[in-house]
Amino acid sequence: MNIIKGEKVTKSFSGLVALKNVDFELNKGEILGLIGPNGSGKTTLINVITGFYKPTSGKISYKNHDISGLSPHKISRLGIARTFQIVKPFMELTVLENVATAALFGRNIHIPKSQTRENAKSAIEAVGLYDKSSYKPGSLSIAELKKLEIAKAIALSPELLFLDESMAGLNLKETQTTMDLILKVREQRDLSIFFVEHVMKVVMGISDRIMVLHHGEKIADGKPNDIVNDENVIKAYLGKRYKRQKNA
Amino acid sequence: MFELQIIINGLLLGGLYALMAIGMSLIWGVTNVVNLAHGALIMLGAYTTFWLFKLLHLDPFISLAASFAVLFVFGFLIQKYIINFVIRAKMFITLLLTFGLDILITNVAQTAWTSNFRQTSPSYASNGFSYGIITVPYVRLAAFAISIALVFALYLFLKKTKTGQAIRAVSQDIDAARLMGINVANTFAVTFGIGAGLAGVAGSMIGVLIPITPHMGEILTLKSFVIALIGGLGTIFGPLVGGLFLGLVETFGSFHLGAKYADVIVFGILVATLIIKPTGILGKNNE
Amino acid sequence: MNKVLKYVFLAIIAVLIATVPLYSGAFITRFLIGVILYAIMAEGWNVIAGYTGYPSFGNVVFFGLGAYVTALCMINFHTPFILSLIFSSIAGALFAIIIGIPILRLKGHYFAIVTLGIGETMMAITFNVPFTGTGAGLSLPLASNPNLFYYVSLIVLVIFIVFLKFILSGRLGYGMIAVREDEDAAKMMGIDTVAVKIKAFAISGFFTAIAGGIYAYWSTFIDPPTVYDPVMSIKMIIMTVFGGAGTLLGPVAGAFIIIFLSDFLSTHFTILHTFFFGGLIVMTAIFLPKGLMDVLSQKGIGWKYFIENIRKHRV
Repeated sequence: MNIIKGEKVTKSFSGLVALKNVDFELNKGEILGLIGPNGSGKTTLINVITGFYKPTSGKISYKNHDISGLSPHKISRLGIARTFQIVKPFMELTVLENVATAALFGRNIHIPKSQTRENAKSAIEAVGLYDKSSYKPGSLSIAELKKLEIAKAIALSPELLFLDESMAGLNLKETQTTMDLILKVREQRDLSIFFVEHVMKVVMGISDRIMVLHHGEKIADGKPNDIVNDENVIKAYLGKRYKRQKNA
Repeated sequence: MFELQIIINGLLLGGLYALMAIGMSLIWGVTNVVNLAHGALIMLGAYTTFWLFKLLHLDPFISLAASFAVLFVFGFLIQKYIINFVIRAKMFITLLLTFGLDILITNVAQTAWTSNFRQTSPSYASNGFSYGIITVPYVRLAAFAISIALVFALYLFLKKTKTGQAIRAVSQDIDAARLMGINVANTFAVTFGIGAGLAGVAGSMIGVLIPITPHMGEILTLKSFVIALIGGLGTIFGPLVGGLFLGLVETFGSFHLGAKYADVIVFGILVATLIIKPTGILGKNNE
Repeated sequence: MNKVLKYVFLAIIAVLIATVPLYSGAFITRFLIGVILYAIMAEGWNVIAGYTGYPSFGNVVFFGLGAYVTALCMINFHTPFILSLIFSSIAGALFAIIIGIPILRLKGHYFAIVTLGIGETMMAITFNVPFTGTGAGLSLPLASNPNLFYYVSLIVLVIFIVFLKFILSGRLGYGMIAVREDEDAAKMMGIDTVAVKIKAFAISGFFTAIAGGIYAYWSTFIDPPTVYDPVMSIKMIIMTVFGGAGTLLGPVAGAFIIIFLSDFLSTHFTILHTFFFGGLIVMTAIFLPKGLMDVLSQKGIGWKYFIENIRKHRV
């Protein structure tokens, strides 16, 4: 059963086509990796799904309800959360306040405030930032900021989570812990995850399925092992870079 | 025929408006500071010319150079020793600071020179030439010509001189400009100096046309902002278009609706522009 | 025991504040009414700018509107004072909603300047429409008891602070702060940012308009340059920033200290007073951009704090 589904999603900016008839589908509990070269429309797709941009045409349905063109806060309240590629912490609030704010909104919007505290704490614990609860984002490392971004997203109690390059800028070890974190969170919270990533090792490591965008069009969609052997994908994206990574 | 006279009046006023606003646009585009003391600088220019005329009988069009020099130095010092200290603070702090400077300058002017209305009134102030029923006052024509000439001079300065190139580099990318060995703090100060100097020249000429008071600047700050906005940031000829446009609209508006609604029209345009196209008519995208 | 002492102490202070007109002269009461009215306005600015991050440079428009609504109600319909204030507050909130819908979409400089322009526009309009008395202004009836203004404004300020504290602990308050910190992130959290901004602006307009209404009856005369004076908007801002924007009591402290200094200088050092507001703004922007409350919250403060502010913000 799919949790989110897009049919012929198209987005153009004053004539420039960023997404062209993209079909996609994510099943409940699945982890879908979205890859593609820079400028292929990955972030645009997330922005369209989460309501930041309105699709030019096409239809997006979440749990069989049409959500195309809804405003971001409505989409968020339905249970869809996202992180930003460039993290957006609330700089003047502490880690706890950041996450506690998130816990008040999203799918928790109708829950009494007193019941949201626990949710915030468990989200902070889940990402391993408990020790830093009283710190302000200004004193966190990049890896910790990415974790804070994830904590804020899961504090919204989503069913579907979009992660936009949560590993970019992390070293190997940090990448590994973040991967484990994502898998753990999925287990614990019964999440479906749609993530954009550049590091092929990560994509191969945790995706149940991979989708490839190129020039705003979907050129492949399938099991990780099929994707890396797909002629089109190798030509458009993986190319020499992937072979180099594989040999290294 | 009446309409033609209005168009001429509007364009002549618009040229002066363009000069008045181009300093604000330049400062905004380069330092990202909206200078709310701009009107106060214009007022200082008007007084500079007034006193030179009154005490030394210097012709107002000759004292333009003095007005530019005085305001350039003043502006340079303000930017270098005051505004540069808050340039990376929150946006509204820079607005608050320049508004503080505006209050400071205005209050000092009021204490020093009282609130009495003054006017620079050379003997030829009301002369002009007529063609049919159309009249063109010399003073307005000269102010228009000088304004347009200065806008072009600024354009050439930014394009051709080393300092001009440094200013343009800083407005594009501060860090890249630093790597090229440009002293950003001084470049900001020079930019503000030039903006203030041009405001001073505009003030000198405005003082020949309308009464001078310490509070004359308040409305001129807003008009300069509207013009800079209509023209769009980061363009040289934007304020020219914006100034001519505002001059025309204001002249037409006061003719048809009455002079007392002139200011309402200006802000109507402000709000409308912001809502329809916040980047201005000729503007590039910029916060 | 300590806690009990603290509450007793606070209660004594509260009683002392509440009964000022009974034991002090008209001069002090007058001074305090001025402080309280400005504290209400500064707190109003604090709601939209300090907490929500939309620095209005034209909040005086609500003050002027409130002053005119109360004046017109009392003159034309002989409405009781308190009822007139209620009309003023409703007018202020409605006006905030009406102008807020288009202008709260604007960001940064654009929002700030357009609010400045709206203040000037309202002044120009008031000058020109006949029923507001145009430039000649309006005269209100004399109040029988001048102490009335002290009690009314104090009650309004207390209600405002309690109300704001309540708001801040709920979803609206968290939403406002989230909007201030990062609007895109706030949207993505499910915060209806448009609604949050409009509500905050309406609260700001509501209370600022009451201050205007009280002022109108208190001063018995209003005209456009007085009640739409753009410098008043700036005073609200500097009081809040000086005290501490985004803190509950900073604006009150700011209003008290600044009006005290201003009054003191204007009676004893007239020349210095000329430089006071402008100079204070410049110094605050450079040395104290986070306000007094931030200074008080530092442990062991020295020159370093101020130098650090400059180092962080200079080019």
